[in-house]
Amino acid sequence: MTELINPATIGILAGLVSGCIPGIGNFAALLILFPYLINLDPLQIIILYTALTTISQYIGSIPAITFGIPGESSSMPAVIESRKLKNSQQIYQAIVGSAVGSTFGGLVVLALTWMVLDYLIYTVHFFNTLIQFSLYCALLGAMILIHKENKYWVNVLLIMAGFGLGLIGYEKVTMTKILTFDSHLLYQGLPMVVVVIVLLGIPEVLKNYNTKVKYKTFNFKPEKLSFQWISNSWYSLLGFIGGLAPGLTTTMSSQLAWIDAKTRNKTPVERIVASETANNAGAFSQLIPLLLLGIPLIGSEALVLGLVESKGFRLDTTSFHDMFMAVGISLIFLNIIGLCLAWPLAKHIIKIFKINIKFLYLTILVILALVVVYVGFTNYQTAYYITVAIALLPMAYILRKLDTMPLIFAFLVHDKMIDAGYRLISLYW
Amino acid sequence: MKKIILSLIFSCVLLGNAFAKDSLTILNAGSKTGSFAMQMTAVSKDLQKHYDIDLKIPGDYCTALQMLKNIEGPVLMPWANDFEAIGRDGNGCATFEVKPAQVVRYDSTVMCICSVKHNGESLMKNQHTVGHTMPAKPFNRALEAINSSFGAKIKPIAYDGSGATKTGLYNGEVDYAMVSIKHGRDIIKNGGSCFYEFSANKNSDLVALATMDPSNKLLIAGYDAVWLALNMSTKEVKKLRQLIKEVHQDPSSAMYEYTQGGKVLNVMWDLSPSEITTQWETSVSNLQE
Repeated sequence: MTELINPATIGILAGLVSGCIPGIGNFAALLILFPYLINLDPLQIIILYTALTTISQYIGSIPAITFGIPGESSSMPAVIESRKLKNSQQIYQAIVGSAVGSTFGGLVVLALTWMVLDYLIYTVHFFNTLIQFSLYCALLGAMILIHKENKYWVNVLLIMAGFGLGLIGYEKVTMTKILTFDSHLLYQGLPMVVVVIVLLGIPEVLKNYNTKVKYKTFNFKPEKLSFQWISNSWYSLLGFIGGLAPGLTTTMSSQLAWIDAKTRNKTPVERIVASETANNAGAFSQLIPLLLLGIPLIGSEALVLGLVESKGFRLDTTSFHDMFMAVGISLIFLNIIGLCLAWPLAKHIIKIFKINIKFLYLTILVILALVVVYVGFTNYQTAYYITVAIALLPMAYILRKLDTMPLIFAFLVHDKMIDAGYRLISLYW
Repeated sequence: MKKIILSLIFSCVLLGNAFAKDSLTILNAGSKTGSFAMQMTAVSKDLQKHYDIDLKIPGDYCTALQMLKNIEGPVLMPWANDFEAIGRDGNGCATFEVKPAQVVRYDSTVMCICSVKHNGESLMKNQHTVGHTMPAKPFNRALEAINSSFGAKIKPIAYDGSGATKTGLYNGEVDYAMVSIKHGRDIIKNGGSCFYEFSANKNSDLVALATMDPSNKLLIAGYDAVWLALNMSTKEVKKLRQLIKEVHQDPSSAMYEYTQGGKVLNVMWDLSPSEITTQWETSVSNLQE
């Protein structure tokens, strides 16, 4: 277990950054950590990712409540409700309630899953090609509907572009060469890390470059917290279900709980606590399809899956039990650490906003460029990686105002969809 | 003081060099989760005591060969007869010249047909689906050969890897699975049975399909794989070959565990260069169109 401490620590630190800074979501954090990730074992990668997603959920609520900045998309309800908080005491209650609720939500769903662990493995009996293909179609459908920053038809075009980029190279099922122009370098296709960094990482940073933060200090005075255990158990359950929503996961969790809390006429503080409790439960449940069936529900999971598979490891029912045990135990510690970071240390966490945010974004841009070079170098193909990056830059410029996640997701899952699609045809036609 | 510091640094460098291990890049030319990847992962763990290992699993042989062009140091890379057969047919992305002097391991695995619900007789009589792994084309052809030789009504279904093929068998999506003997043993462990094998081995425990119709060469199908020691001197190749042989025979090694002590993988250590060439060329041509 000691070999998991370092990746978990890095995951916690990355979660701190990813939870705080707009545009630096879990996906971008993984890209920045890519040179470190490629040297880890599959279990270490999963633990790092678990730490990243869990801690970013805890931390995301702090800038959302304090400054009205959504560090990540699942904190939107907290941002909206934070405008209704009247004084620093309510802000304090919301922060503490969110921290306690997140821990409660995380541990409740972990315990529930642990109880039904042996039964989960039987889901493989239902997980045939038809279900797999339908799930991927549902995921892409969700990408079209949920990325509202773009028009629907734009999302469709982005998905097609992602597929197109993914198809470049030698296609092993049909044994055909697509858009390789007889270049042996292109037979391998476009390197995943380059496509993801240039077409997602860089546009995301550029989009958020002009974010303005007005730093203010808060003097929180500790006071008694009334935490509603029963209603938050309900929100944990809602969060768990929401976390399984393709493409939305924690965002769906927090939205479901928030809407439910609104319909029950809860106070703004209670609504924030409900949504934050739910999104931490969702942060856990979103991992289950990945660990159990190797199905990524969001882009960052698709990246993790690719990384784990590049180590010759297959995430499926055969590895699920051991993986879950390690993830489960680490989650207990991570939730305790998350609680400490998001409650007693919250007033220190917000000091990150004293840093010049533009400088931070510039640093991230430089790091992303270095990641391309470094990964190219370790794969003995520096020139190829740089050439592909440069070739994709005009496309990144054209897409700079769009949310490019549908493109990236389609690029990351295209081979699995094609594989399932061919099989579906040979099975039923 | 300056001299002391300099001599300390110098000693450290010397000591470091004295204990430095040779570097070895293990370049998996197979898929990310297939048997090559599992074996390369296992052998990289076993050889860590002797080499400074850099394990690369790019995911396919097209990428692996591009990477190979830029690696100057010693490389261990597996290469399979199906890659070569597809390449020689003009459908693949590359071919690779196998020089016997570079071969540090030669192994051969026949494919067998197993099921958890159906028996061997039913395969020949009734309409059934049979899952198989990549490469799709040669294995599809081998299954179609059963139809042409014995009048069976098999529908081949391609899966990306033996793990996925077994999952398809367990969840009832396919009736039978065409897998290697190693995976056949897993199926038997999970309550299934294996009935046929794609070979002409009359002494096999399973029914050797090529003995039932010797005129159909497509009824012999399997993987022949070579592990190649590249960018190495004869002495280095010899050392690596010896170490690889040792880890296969060491009960505490990851390779021993993978091969189940040699029970599930037929590794031929004592082939002469001409035997390597003959066996390799035959296995490649068996899979060609």
